[in-house]
Amino acid sequence: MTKELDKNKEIDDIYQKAREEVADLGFRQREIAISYLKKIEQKKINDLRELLSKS
Amino acid sequence: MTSEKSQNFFKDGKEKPIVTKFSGEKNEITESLPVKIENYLNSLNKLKDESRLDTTEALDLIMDSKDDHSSALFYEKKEAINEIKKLDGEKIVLITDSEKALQDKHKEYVDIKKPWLDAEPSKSIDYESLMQEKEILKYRELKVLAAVSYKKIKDHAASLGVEISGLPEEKISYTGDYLNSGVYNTDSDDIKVKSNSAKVIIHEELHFAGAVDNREGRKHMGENRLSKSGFGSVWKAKEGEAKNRDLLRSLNEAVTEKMAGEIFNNNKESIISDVIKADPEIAKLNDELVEKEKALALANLERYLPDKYKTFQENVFIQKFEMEKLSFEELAAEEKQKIESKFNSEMFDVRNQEMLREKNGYNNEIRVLDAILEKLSQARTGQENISLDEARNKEWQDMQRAYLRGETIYLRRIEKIVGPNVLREFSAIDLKKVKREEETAESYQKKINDLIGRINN
Repeated sequence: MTKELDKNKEIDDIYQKAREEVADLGFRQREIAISYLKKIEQKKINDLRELLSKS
Repeated sequence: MTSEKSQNFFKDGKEKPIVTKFSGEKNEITESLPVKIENYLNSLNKLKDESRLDTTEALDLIMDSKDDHSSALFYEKKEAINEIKKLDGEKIVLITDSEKALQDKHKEYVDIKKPWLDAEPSKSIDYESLMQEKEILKYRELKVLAAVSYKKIKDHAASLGVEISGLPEEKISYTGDYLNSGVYNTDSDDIKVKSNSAKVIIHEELHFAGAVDNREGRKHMGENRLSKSGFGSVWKAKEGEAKNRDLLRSLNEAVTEKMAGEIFNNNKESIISDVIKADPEIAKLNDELVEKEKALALANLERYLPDKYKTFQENVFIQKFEMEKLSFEELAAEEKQKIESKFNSEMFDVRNQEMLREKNGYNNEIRVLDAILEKLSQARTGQENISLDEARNKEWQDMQRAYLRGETIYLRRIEKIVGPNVLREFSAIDLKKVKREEETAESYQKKINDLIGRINN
């Protein structure tokens, strides 16, 4: 039974590790995309500020 | 929650619950190791799809961002895309390695217990065959949509007095290209699209229709011309030139996209009903497959939920995704709700709206085309003594006729009235260069604005 439990743990670990790390990498991909979108928004705000300060 | 409680939760009085016990717990193992590995392999397969979706969504967020500042953030955009693609590669390697490790474990175990395993039906086969059926149905739907879309183009051409031929539904397939939603290849005469979008299909089918040499079976187009569609043609590179010359591509794409937009908008209401009329089984088959997949997903949920709950309890996901701490019942209800709404959105009545999702391209090229058409129409008003509206209508119809017949002689009219260099200048502006990062969006935009300014003067 102990041997059976060890094997169980081994395959649980392989799967869990893949699932968690893939989720983590997917999360990072989204963060990169969002950070780029934020940069665009910031640029818009800066441009508007500049425009207002000139007028 | 104890594992006994979780078992009770799944009991609905009809079926015996499927329970996965965790390593390290003192309970006995109720699921055989090979079956467990097969389930994990199945889940990894799904994880592959989800992972691909994450990548596409992240890239779409960047590519679809409507901003006037992309030129200023050119390198940030490039870097973000590269980083996302790099992480995609890491995910693929991770999943593939895990699959390999599980397959090795499976083999190891099966070698010992083979007679017993042979008696067990493989659960993964169900899912595999279901995915294959889905793929076949998606192709069938694509081909029907391609046939319906081409009928709309034929009707439009007939209203202009032009007869067009060809069966694009036999030449259409999917592409995995991230950057292009569709492409027509004049050499192979193939159309490739990213999704079942009628607008994109109509655009590519117009290129297909406009490739009159291909439609009429003419193989030889002269010594140096490699292919032709509508007003665009590809010519062999001259000595010293690195690439073949893609002439009048921008004008050709602008005419194609403007025409595609009009055909799509005039027929939007009837596209889905025509698809159903052409192949009445599609909706039924789609919904049957969705139900089957949903049943598999719900059965799978029973297997992985105790596992997921344990992970929740260990706070692994709570920290990363800022989720609230849920009870087992709440988590189960939430997961079931996710499955319900995922599969509801895949039922034909909901999913068919994908076909009508509008994707507008070549907006800048169409601005140049509109300026050219306006100049031609103004000249026509005086020449034929007709109103400007009538002249605009006639001019646009003439241009479409010439495109569909491949009559490049029409272009002389543009050179004569709008200016001798306009076509050459328009040809030199190429959105592809921005996509390939050979030119910045800022420089491309400036060229477009300058050209429109020159046409208007």
